[in-house]
Amino acid sequence: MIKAANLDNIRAAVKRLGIVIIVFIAVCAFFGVLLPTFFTMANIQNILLTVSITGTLALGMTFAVISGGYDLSMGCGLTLSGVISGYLMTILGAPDAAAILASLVFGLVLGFANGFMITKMKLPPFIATLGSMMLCKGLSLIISEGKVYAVGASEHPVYTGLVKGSVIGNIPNAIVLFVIFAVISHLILTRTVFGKYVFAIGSNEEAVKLSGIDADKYRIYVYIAAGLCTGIGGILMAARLTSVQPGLGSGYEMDAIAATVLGGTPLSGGEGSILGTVLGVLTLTILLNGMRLMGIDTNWQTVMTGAVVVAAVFIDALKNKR
Amino acid sequence: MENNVNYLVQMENIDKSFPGVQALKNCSFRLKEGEVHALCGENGAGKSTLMKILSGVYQKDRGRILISGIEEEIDNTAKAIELGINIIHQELQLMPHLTAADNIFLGREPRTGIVFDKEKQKKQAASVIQRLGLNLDPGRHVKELSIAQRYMVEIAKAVSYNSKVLIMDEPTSALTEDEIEDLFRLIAELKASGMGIVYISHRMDEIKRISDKVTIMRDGTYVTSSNTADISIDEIIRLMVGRTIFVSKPKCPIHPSEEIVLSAQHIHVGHRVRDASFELRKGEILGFAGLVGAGRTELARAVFGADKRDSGEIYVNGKKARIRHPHDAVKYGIGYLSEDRKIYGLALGLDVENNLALAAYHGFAGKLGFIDHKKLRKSADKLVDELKIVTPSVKQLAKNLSGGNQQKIVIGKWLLKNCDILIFDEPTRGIDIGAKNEIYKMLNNLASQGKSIIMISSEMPEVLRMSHRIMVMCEGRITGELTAEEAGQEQIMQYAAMRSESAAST
Repeated sequence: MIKAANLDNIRAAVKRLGIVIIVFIAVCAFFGVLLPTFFTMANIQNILLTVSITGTLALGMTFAVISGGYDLSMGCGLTLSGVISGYLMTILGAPDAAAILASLVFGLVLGFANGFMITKMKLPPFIATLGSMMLCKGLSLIISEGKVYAVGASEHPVYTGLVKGSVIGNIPNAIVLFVIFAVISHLILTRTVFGKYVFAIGSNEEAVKLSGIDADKYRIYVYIAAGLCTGIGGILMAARLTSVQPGLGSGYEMDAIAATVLGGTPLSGGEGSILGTVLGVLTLTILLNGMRLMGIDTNWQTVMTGAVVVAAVFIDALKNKR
Repeated sequence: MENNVNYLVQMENIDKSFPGVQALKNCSFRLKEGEVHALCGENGAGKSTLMKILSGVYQKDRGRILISGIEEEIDNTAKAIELGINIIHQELQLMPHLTAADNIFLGREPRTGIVFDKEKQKKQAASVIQRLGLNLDPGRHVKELSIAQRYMVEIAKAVSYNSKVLIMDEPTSALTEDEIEDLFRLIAELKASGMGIVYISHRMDEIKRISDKVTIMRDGTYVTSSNTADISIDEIIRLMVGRTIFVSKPKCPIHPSEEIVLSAQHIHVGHRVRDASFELRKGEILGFAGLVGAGRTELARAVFGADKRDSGEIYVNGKKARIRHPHDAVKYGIGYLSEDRKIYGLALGLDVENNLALAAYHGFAGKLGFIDHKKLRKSADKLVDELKIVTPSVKQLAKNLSGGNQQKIVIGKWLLKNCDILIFDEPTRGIDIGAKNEIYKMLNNLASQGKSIIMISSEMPEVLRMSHRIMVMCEGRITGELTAEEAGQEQIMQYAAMRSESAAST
């Protein structure tokens, strides 16, 4: 009985995720056969480290998209989060832990501000998060004066250890952290009252309000979650590069949206899954990694990625029509 | 063929199936010039499908269609319009940001050379509107027009195509009594000009009043056609449902107690609700009658906290209640079922279970907010059984269910939340007669269990049949209160039409 139900669940999940599983397997198989270096430990680790950063953003983005919105401030917010850390550590000489905390708090504040503008000031998510995106971009350059902060591994062992250190075997901490974040996000979305509200708000916010639910409050939570992911993403990025580069990060929000949509979460909201998003991020990252290993020009990599996202979502839409 | 020529439309032996459903089986329909032909049947009987085939929205699988005696293939809506067949859908197909004139001439805007000629369009629109004797400024934006005026724009659009056949799907469902009178006058004029009109409606009194012929359908089949004069309402209903049902009112068996559970005092909401006060007793069904736009929905939404009140106080169980948002109202045990469940009641993209649980998730969750899915599933299954919601499983998406079943889900949502005060706004709108009776039974049951119910309804027989007490509203004010014993259609109408001038003079 239970087994049958589980099988049904798996089947339903495959059906719901649909195209992303196929694209994921196809991409793995293609590069696996073509490139002898693809399935090496070093390369897989490299892929997963990249996934841990864009993936963290995509997790937050998935919440926002399921609730019927999105967060354009993620990319530039990630930059500002890193700049805040870098400024505190290298200019003010603050301890690593304080820098980490400051970046996390910044993420929460950014998310709350986005949520507040969207719910209480009734701004469309596009305008609200576009505004905070530009604000983050400007502030990053003002604070850093356009300079790169070096966050050396020996000077900042705690900070960089978040990515480079290993608590479990040889696995870099960033990958472990990402897995933990993904599991938590999945549990929140599927098992908690808040998760249910996220889906319901994306499906019909008016009905949610008239069901006696403070939808505004939960929408603010959604953007706080997204903001927290942005803050974390900034830390992971800076720790991975052992430097803060105020020019980097802008455009990451689009990668996160692409991964989310590729993973079967439509921009119209009301449906979607963390598993899909994780597969989406993996697929896009592997695609870029494989093309880089093949020596394809960076600009062509971008062109190809765009084509894959559009084609996959198109095929998905065809399937749903029938 | 000879005796067929005076038929404007002949549809013969029409079959139509959709994946998994045979929607129409061997259906026939004939319409004469200058005839108002009512099409009756429960929801899902195939009326709309048949008319969508005639208007080119769907294509038939089998059968033939003759227009003025000539066999035609109606492949698309453009072909139908070319043949002079126009349909006005229940959900109006107008662009709210465009003007009435823009809407009337959408897709065939008058031009001078290649330039759009606004003045010419305005003149042409004005002439159509004048021909119909309408009071309407063609330059107004549709979003500024009332529902009735929008309907007139749809009619003007159809007339401007020189239609011979006009299909109206539930035209009066959102109109006030006065507006309905205007519409009927217009229909009479169109009829006199030789147009054939197909009139789809659930309202028997209207059908009886304005139609010449009735065709009855049931489960995708043609049942019979008759001259309207030769058939009684009871007979039509009997043929529609295929069984005899009671139209006369069985009184609510249990009398409510004297205990007052909800009291609203001097509620003001802009101009839409003015100094409205009422009290609701335990176990009572309190009907709210009035014309559409009388302020009943606005009053209910204000009591529920969905709209802001300018002033006025609300007491629940004798204590003053601070209600500023719906989530405040729900804390006091008040539930509200909106008149438009698709917009305000249901999350159509979610499944039955999650719609039922929407207001009550917290009751199924532990400290950290994690939901006990087994418990939730059990409760959902139980509700589906109790309310006789017809669905393959609780995992079915709400959008795949019929209107009656969707309404039951919304009711179930508040039952699961265990609300003691329920506000039903037009609970049976767009629901077929069988499902209506089930909803009535459900309301009676709830009242006898001690729940207190406010029922807003524009169908007077429904209010009369269900309510212990009736409040009547007009222009935002409560103009009358009637007990079930003294209430009749005439008194209600009198209060419902008691505008402020006449109220002041009496």
